[in-house]
Amino acid sequence: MDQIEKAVQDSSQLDDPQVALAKRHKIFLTIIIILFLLSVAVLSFCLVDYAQQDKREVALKVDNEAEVNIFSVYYTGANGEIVVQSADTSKVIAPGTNAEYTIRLRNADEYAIDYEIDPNVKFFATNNLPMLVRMRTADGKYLLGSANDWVSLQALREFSHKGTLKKAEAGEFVFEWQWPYEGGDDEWDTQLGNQEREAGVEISFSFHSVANTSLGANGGWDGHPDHGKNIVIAVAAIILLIIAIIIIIILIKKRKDELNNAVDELPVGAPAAPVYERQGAPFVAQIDLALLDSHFSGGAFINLVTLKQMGIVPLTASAMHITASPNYQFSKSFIVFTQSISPEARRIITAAGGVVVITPN
Amino acid sequence: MKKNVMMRVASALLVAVLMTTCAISGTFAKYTTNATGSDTARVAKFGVTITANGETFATSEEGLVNGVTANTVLSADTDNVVAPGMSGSMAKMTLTGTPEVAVKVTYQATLTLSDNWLVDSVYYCPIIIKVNGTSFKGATYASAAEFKAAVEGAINAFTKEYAAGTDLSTVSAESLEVTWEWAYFVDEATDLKDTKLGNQAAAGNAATIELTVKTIVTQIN
Repeated sequence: MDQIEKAVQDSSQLDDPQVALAKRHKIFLTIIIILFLLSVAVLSFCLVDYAQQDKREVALKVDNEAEVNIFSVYYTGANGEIVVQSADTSKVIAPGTNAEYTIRLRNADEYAIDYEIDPNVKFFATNNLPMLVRMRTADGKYLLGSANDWVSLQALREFSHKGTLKKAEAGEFVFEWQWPYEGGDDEWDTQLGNQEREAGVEISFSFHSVANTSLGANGGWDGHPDHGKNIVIAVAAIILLIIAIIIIIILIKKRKDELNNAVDELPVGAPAAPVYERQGAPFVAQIDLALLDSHFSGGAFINLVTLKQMGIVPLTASAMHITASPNYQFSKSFIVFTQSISPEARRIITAAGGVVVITPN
Repeated sequence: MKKNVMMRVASALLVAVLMTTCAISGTFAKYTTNATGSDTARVAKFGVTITANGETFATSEEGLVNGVTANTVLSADTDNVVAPGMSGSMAKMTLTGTPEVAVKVTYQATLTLSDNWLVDSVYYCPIIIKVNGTSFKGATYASAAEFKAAVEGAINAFTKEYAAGTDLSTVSAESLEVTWEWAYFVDEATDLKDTKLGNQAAAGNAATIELTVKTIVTQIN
């Protein structure tokens, strides 16, 4: 008897459809995870390789980059007369001179661009030049100084401006400078003009830009044909994410249903072999004990899968129910795995020394 | 327990995808460019110098004495002197330099006449000062203050402007010209007054005259 119970346990572990299904789920899930991780790894390697080989530059155009004219070789007075004139071709500054320089940035790229304007100031001979500066956008918003206030060149050194230009968008920034005519220290102004070692200044503007591939900066999901180019890989990643989530949800739901279906109803009292009736199965094959008797010899293990393989039960059946005619003469000892069984059939099987095991679908 | 495993797997997948997305963003962020534009200027040169040449007044005056050139006036000490028949020019200011800014040359005059220009307690100054050819005769004014105001006004009003890049050493002819003279003979009455001034000086009450002219070169805006 102990051997039979052990055999039943082993058999149930081997042939239990639930166990088999769980195994299949595990294998499926493992494959999904491995494939997913492989996809991520391949995608990452491809991107790294792409980034390393990509020598393209963001098409940020500085319209007047080639010839920056912050200063001049001459300046005119109120009546148009020349009041400052360089003796050679070098540009000069002097008390009373002033000018403005417009920086025009244009995004000629297919994507949005994050840019940074980073001015720098280099002094010659002395860093005590009484120049004042300020900077504003074309629409009058001051980025440095204000409508009433000018700041020193030292403040310009510490200044930088960051922004974003959308595709084909342009930005204008007006840089203004002046050397006040009577700024309060005429003696120093004169001294600067008389120095043997020429005092001077170099003002430079550096422009750093980087492609901005964010959806917000590129107009969002509005169907623009160009937008797909820069975010195609991001979309692929999002699709992968969605697929992964869907698979996980399906697996979780399926597992949950299986567990719910495995909850049997109240047992029917049977001291020799507990028998559980199942309900709610979509298609339950009715099998008479005589049918089993005719197909199997004694000592056989009988379950739904076996019966399906033998063509006794349709493949669409999700459960079986064993019945028996009253007073059926039965002498074979079966080990039966079934989803439900009639009390008469159960009594006949157990009376012959067989075992009935109720299993889920 | 199986549910926990599922959740763990789901979490791991989510983290993996998020990390992938971040990596993608970071990768694309390296798509950059840089540009720089600069301009340089030096301070415009000024470099104007002013040099005074000679003296307005002197300690002596030469002339023919018995057909021989000799001092017709000679100071007994080192002081400059004025006397009938003497004349002179204000120290000429020489400007040099080629400033890269437009400049204006102006003058600031101070004529100082002592209180001893008196004859019989009445103001009398026989000195004639010419400013760019315009004569200001001291004897025609009612007081030393009026004479002073007239001369200073004429000098201070004289300005010249030069465009940027002008070589100032070439425009000295346009600069201020101030001369003076004490006429040797006008009439008998004047001779008498001149003599009295000379005698006052001999008595230690010499009338003195001082003309200071400051030359200023200023940038024009």
